[in-house]
Amino acid sequence: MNTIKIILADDHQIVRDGLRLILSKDNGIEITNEASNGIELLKVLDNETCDVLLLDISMPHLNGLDSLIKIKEKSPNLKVLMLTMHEEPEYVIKAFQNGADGYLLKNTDHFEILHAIRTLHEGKRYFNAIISNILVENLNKVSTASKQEVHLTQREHEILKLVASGLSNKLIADELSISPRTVETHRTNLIRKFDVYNTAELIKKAGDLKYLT
Amino acid sequence: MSMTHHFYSAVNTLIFKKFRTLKHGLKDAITKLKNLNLFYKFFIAIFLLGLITVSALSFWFYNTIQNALIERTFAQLQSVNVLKKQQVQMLFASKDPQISEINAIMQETTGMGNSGETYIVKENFRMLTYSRFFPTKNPENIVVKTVASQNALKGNEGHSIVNDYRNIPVFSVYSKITLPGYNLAIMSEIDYVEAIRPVREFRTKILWIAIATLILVTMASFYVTRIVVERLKILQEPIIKLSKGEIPQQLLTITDRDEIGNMMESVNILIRSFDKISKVANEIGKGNLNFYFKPLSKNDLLSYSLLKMRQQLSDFSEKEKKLQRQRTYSLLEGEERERKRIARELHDSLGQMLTGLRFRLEIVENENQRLELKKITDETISELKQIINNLMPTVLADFGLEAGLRSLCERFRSYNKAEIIFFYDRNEVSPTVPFEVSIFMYRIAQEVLNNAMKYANASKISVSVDEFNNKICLFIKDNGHGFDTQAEYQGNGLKNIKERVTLLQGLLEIESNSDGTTVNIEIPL
Repeated sequence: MNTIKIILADDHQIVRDGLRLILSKDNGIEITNEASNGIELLKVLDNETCDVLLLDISMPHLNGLDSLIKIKEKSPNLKVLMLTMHEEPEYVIKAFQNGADGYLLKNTDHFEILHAIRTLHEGKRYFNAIISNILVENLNKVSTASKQEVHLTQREHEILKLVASGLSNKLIADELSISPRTVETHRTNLIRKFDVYNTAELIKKAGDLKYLT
Repeated sequence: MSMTHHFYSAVNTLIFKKFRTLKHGLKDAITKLKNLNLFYKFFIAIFLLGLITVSALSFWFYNTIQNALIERTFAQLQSVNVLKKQQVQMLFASKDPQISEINAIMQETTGMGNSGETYIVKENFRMLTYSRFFPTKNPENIVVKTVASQNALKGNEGHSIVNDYRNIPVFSVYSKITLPGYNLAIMSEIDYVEAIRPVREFRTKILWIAIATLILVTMASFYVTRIVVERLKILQEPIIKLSKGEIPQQLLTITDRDEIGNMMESVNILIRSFDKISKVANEIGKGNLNFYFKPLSKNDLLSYSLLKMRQQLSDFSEKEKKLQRQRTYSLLEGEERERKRIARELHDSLGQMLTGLRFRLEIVENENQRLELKKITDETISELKQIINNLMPTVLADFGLEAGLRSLCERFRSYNKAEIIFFYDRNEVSPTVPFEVSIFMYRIAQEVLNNAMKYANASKISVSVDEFNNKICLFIKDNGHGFDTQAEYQGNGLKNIKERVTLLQGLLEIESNSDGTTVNIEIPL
């Protein structure tokens, strides 16, 4: 079995050294190069390639997420494992949208890191339970854009339904935990978006266009 | 030469000095007169006019009457003189008359009062007939050399007031009696004092009438003057007050529509406009620059100046407010930027170093030691993360408001064990929320959530954000027991919330009662 060639991209020497220590325990893994920021990384990748790239997000000059896009444009087959301290869903989603193959938090133990590197090397993606959870929870956000004639936000959709069921602004506000003024603004926007003149017309047209089902 | 010269110069100086003091005195008197009250001036003027008129009238009247009396007296004496002369001539014409006969004619003094007499003077200026005043004296011993007798003996007829032989002023009518062989003068005379007595009596009467008239005139002038001057005095008071900058409390009551009435009307207008302008100035002084004010006329310079001043003050205070807002804004923004920098630094340096340390711990041989050290390091890292998040969540800086608020709610949920519902209605057409707005809204939400937890003890909170084309709305509702929205007590962050909303020129509505609190914030984009 060939050794897995790895490049480390992290702006902190101490992190890179730590990773080196951990990875050096496995004979099947070889760290061929390292970079301390995105620009440097892109230069390194111009001259050589590797099997798995360990990529940090917070880096000066060009951060990990932005570097990722450029790297995947040039060499789509290069496996990229994000190794970061950020655990908010926004970072996770963005990383996968930009083409990451795996996402690991830096507080994982060395077994998991090695496992993730191997998984990626086998051509699979890697995310542990925490990351999968974040991805699943936010799945709807990524794919809600419907192809309907009038584009509504989620709130507008809710309000449209409540308006159709005959609720007053005050009741809708209570139901949705927003201010009646905001409900009114939404109603006005709905009437504008459906290109009608009043609530009755709005409900009729929305019903005709199957927005109320 | 020099002596005389000195003398003249001394006299000159003396005269000049006298003249100068006189001139000064006159000037002083005029000045004093000029400074007299209008009342006295009027009064003195009218009084003097009255005095002169009454005096002139009295004098003229008295003179006329006296002249008439003199005339009448002369006429009477004339007729007596002519009659007696005829009688004497007739006596001489008939026979050789006796002196006693002539005396009889002369002593007939009916209508001649107490002092009237007619007598005959001879050429040697001796009396021919008896004197009425000296009936026992021999006429030959009484010398009558008066102006009248001399004239008469020269042959001139006439009348005049002269001193008679007793040296007492009399009315005298005289003529010459021409008889053959005799040169005589016949004199009819009456004492001036007696003849003039009626007019003297009349003079006293005139004097009394004049004094009475004068008193009347004085009273009338006093009254008239008072009417005019009192009304002027009424005018004077508010004008003096106005000149001192005081505003009279009452307007003048106008009774007569004459010149003074019109002046009073004008003073009233002046008082009203003065009052109005001073109120305007007062409002400006108090800093209240929003009031309606209309200048009195196109040429009301004072009002226009005041309006101009107000405009400038208003512009100035507007500028000042704007500047103040900008200052606070940049201060807060600078603070946030600094927090962001520190957070970033902590994350990038300390965080990464701890991570590196943790990786190194992975290879510690002793299992127990490794686990122990890893545990401590993990706790340190998570503590650091909390510090960073409190300073400035990196997710807010990297992904914006929605991510920031979601992470905030997440943290509140896990730390406080409260149910927090978060919904962010993203709108593709709405502009991206600028970082300054994001961070302010994040802080606002943080304060509101803090309040709900710390003070209102809420167990359920909903945080809703709605994006629109022109604004972004944040609505936070909790089921806590509420708090006093009026009291800005230390630490409830209400002041911070208000300040940030004001800086973003947004709208803030807080409603709180025992069932819970709702906070509605709208920020224009």
